[in-house]
Amino acid sequence: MTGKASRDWRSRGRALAYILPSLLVLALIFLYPLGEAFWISLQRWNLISGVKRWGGLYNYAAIFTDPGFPQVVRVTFVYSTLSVAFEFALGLGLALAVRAGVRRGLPGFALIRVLVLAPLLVAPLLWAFYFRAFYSPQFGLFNAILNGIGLPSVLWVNDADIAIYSLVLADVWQWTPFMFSILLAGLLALPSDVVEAARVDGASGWRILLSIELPMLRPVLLVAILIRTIDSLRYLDLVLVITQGGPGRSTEILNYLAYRTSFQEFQLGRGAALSFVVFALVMVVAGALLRVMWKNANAR
Amino acid sequence: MNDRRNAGAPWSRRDFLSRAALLSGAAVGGSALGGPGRFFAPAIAAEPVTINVLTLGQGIFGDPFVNLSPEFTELTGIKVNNITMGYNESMQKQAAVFAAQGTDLDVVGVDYMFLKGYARAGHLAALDPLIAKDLADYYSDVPANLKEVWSLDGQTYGMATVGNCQNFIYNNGHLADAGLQPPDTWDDVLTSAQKVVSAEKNRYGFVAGTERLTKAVTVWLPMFWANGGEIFDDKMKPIFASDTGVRSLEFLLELMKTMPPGGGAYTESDEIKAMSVGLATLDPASWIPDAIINADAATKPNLKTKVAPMGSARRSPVLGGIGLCVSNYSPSKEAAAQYVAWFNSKKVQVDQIVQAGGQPCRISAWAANADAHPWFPSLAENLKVAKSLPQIAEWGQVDSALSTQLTQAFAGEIKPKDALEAAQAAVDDVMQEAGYY
Repeated sequence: MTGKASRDWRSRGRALAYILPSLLVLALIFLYPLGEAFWISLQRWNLISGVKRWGGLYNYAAIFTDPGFPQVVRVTFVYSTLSVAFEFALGLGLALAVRAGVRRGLPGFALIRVLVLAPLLVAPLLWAFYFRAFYSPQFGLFNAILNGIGLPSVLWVNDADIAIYSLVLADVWQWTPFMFSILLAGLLALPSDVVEAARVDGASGWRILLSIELPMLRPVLLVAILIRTIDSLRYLDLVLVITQGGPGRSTEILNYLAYRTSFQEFQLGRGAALSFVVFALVMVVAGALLRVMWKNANAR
Repeated sequence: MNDRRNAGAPWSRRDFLSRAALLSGAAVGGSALGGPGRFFAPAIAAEPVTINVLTLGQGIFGDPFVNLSPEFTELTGIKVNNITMGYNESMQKQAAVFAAQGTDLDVVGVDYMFLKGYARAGHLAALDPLIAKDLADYYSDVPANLKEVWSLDGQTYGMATVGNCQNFIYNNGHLADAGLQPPDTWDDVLTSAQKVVSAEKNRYGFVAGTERLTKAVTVWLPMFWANGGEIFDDKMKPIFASDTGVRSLEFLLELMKTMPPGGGAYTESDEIKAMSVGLATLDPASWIPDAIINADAATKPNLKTKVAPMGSARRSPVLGGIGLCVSNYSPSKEAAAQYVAWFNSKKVQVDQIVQAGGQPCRISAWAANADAHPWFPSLAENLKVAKSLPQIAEWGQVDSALSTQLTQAFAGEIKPKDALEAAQAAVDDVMQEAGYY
């Protein structure tokens, strides 16, 4: 080894030794619980009786051979896809409107920009309880409004055909402001010279938006979609508080199934296995989105 | 290499790494050594015993413990740290603490259906060696079914403390308006529910909580049991997908046709509100008296209670109840047992528990407090005939399997026979896996 290479190697080694204690603590906080959870997922463990025995991949096999499992996966994807799609569309629309209003100095838009973020200030679990009350078929706010304007009541979460869409609505209410705030920041950070040049060339507002601004905004869009997709796949509050997976199994998502198995059936092993299935699903989806982002970054 | 730093010069990468390492090493080393507390011996002083008591936070299963614990402390000198939370959270916390053999809890409010599972696993202390005299007095004054429910292999592991079961609340005004008497049998309940429905008066018949979590199964069970059905045979094989089971579920679906819209997934709060504002007429599977307590001025005088409806075999409301147990990992078992005994003593049960917001479990206490609330006499009668849920460690899985299929039947997704057969197959797997047969 040459003198410089040897000194570099010793330097790196010393640096690693200095930060090793912190790395060990991080590994303890992150990797140990993950490892322990995986170990639990290989056990057949009833928390009430305390009976715990080795199951190997038994829990995973039981999950994938459960005839109800495909339905749970389907509901999870429907919930996640619709929530993120609507949040994206509404968030982008609101961001464009607020940007236009702020740029033109229209009165009130600076305040609207803050008010749109209001749902984010309330804890998600509280919103879940509020929406449970709003969705009550006879005593809820939404049906009171509908009846007040002469429309019939809707069985928001009492009808198996529409319950999942009612949960999507509640999710969109809560998380559109998050999408809005990221997209507005991205829009305001776009370089104005390119847009001005297009305007001088006679491009319309729509053409500028579709051909110039949105492509430039793509990295921000992808990050926002990635974060919300990961969150929506892991989300639990609305289902836990409002429907508990019902009516029937129409709103049972993977994360709720994991919760129910662990803490209502007290089957800790199978619940841990379900958590890893959710983890794997999130990693696959996140990985796919990151690949798109990476390709996009390379293309630029 | 000379790495002496000149004042004001920016840090090199080497400087940054070495200083960061020093800081992190100091942090890890300091925490490993236990911090400053390790070097100072704790002051030695005689501390009064403090016990940690886990119960629900509100209502009949929470209020008496929160309200009366200070008096217990005054009388015994034993300090009480009341840990309160909602039902689900309480059940999850105690299961986790027991599994970890934690010493955090001394007295635990245990739902009776988990008692035998916990006792077999060694999580609960037998009370007989700790409070034998109190137990003898207690057993002389409680219904016979409670002794069986709260003991295992001849040893007592808990005391009922707050007695509860399903009660039958009905709106007498609606029934009288339709020319009907309060129904006594399940068939009468259906006939009355069908006759009392009126679109112009915005009035419905039957009401119950039918949501998946804990409600769906306990709405169907009283009808099933009342007609002679059983969930398990002697070998703990599930047998509920019988003709009786299917007929009971079909009967329940007929009753649900008289419910307000959305009845297939009705929450308990909607059930209570429907009765309290006079929207519904018959609630034979009510767990708490909130409909009467919160009723509006026009409805309240009409709300009455009675004993559970009769089926072809018996009256069979579902037994409820969260009793007090002593954790086997408690470092203060004697003090904890004193707490349990005190709350179940005749004096507290007769004179204090009702006034503190609870319900008694002793027969003499029910008699002494018959006038305390209008729903007490029927509740006392129902407690004598109430049937307990199977006290098996696998009940969570059984309930989950059953409620999943029942709610699908409620939603009209599957037929009653298919629902019960699917549930029975799932429960059969659970029981086989658990080693019952």
